Amino acid sequence: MTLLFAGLAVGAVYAIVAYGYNLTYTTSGVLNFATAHMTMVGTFIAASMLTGSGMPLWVIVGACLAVGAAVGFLVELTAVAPLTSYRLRRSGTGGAGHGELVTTVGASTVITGLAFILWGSDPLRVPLFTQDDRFPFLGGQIRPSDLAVILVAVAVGLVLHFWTRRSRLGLASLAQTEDRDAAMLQGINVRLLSSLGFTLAGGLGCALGVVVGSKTLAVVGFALVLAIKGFVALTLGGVGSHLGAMIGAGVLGVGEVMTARWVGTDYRSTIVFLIFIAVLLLRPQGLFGTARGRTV
Amino acid sequence: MHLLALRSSRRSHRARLALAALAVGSLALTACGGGASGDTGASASNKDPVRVLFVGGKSGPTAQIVSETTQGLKAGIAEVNAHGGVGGRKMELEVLDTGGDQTRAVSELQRRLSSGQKPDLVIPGVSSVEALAMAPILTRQKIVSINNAASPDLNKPDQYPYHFGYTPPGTRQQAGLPAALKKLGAKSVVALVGNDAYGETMAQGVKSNLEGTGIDVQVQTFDLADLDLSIAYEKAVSSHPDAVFFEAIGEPAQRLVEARQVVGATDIPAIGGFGINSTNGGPSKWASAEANKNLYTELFAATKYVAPADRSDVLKTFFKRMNDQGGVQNSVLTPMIFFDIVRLYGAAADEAGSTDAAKVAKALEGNMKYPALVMWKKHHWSAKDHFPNPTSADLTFAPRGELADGMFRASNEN
Repeated sequence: MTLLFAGLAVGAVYAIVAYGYNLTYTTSGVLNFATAHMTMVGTFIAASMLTGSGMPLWVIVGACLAVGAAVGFLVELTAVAPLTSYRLRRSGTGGAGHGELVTTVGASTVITGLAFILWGSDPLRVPLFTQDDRFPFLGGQIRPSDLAVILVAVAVGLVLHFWTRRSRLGLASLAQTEDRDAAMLQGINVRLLSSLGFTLAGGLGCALGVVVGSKTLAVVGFALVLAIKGFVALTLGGVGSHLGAMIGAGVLGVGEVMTARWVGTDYRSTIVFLIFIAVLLLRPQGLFGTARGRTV
Repeated sequence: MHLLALRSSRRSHRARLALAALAVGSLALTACGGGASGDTGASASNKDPVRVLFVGGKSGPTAQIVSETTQGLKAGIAEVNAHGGVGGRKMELEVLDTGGDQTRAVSELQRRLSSGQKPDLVIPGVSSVEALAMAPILTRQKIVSINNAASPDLNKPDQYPYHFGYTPPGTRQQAGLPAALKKLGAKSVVALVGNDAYGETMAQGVKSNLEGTGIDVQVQTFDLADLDLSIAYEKAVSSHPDAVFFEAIGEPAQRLVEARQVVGATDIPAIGGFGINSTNGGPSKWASAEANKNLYTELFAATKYVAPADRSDVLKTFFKRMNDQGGVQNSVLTPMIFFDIVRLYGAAADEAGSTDAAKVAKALEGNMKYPALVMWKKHHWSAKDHFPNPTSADLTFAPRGELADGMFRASNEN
């Protein structure tokens, strides 16, 4: 059970990044590769504010939310909106294209550079828990930070799942993902939706950095690792599905930890990617994604 | 005729003037060339300084270590100059800022070499990446270079005959490990290292140094990108070793120390390598008391605390010169290295009677007279080995502690 908890905690971190991908994908059709970097920024803000400031947690989470939302908004404004407008002028349709894959990677590079300048290359502790030793839990042992990140990831995943299916904004996002032109004809402001999606994903990712950092430390270089692993989790679960991202990330995390413990660290990535390839061969849309027909 | 003779005479006069100008120019060039080729004896002008060029990132991520390096170089230069300089010539320091970027370092070095006087000694940055980038140019230009980079790729006298290293390569950094493990009473040890080239080098160093000591060694690797190193640590202690040796630099170092506490393995003695100790001031600074329980870190013996009254003459001189430069900023390690480097170069140039790179390199490789060093017990370089080869006396280990006067003082020594 201890290993299972450790794997679920690793998976929970990947899930948090995967939710960010889903949020921007459903609202604008763009996979924002700066998503993990928002979480990284959150870990540093938390590390700075939790160390010696004596500020209450809600203030720290609020600060992360505000900073992340502002950065997310700026990323959309500078790395996504200009390409959408350009396509709209050229072909009359303003949907997402492949260019955003490059521009959001560019945005992530800028955020990484700024983080290096602001906080340096040394890792910082995020002391959310004063004692983070394992304690007995459900027949195994778990760290408070691991339990916190698992609970938060599950709760956020469920909220996002129901938000997408029940709220007007969530339904508008789904409509936009299904057929952007039809959504526009229905009066959905897709431009505003895209901006809102990036702002929300940025704020959420950054705020969740507080709990992620308590497990991972605040490290600039980790954003890239999380960006890749979060993407694998997302593809495994099915792009667009928050529940799928949660379960895909869980499978990935547990698979990694079990392989590292019983097979060997060197085989960890190999075995995990073999599972990934096998799933995609059998279900290209991922575990919880929806297969769509395409007219050719 | 007269007119023609006059014209001819004027042409002849101009030609003589031109020849005279050429001759004067040639003499001047020869004089400059003589100076640059570097005699330190009576034939060289005592006004011509011995130029030390430090190409390092004054700004950027290496700013702190570069600041400490500059202090050490200035302290060493002040000491050499106080003793009459190099063959009567004063040493001078010039620093080029590279922003910590090796590409910029190469272009800055090339720009500097193509303008102005050739430097006699170059400090090619503070990392292996920088030193490896600059080494080919410095070799072509026949300039002696010395720094703290520990990459074994730089220890190739055939390829880089004028480059010398002052920090031992990874495999030699574990020379103190057998004595440390024996002191802990350990008969078996697991070496937990990253799955990269650095980790591989460290594992080789541990195995080669423990060979024939009777201590059983097992090597286990961990993924540097792993979010949770507690699994790797748990696996390492699952074979119930008497001790664990682990090594990493930066964020994995902190993660490993944390993992040791998370899995409840603080009762098993652990020795953290030099990388663990150099990360963010070492675990004494950032890890909890519980995480530091039975945790020792490797140290260069020179950086272990010595009370002022017990300090050797050379250590007292080092501190005096450092105080003149504003005092030790953080740890003594970096300034000590460069304090020694400058004085060794000065001694070699004195011995060679020249700052000519080949002659100085030969002196550095031989049994030259050299001043007492602060970093090592003795000078190590030879024609086949341009890096230090420390003995167990040069390396030690210590439990939790703090920096006092920039030296590491274990808590139990207070």
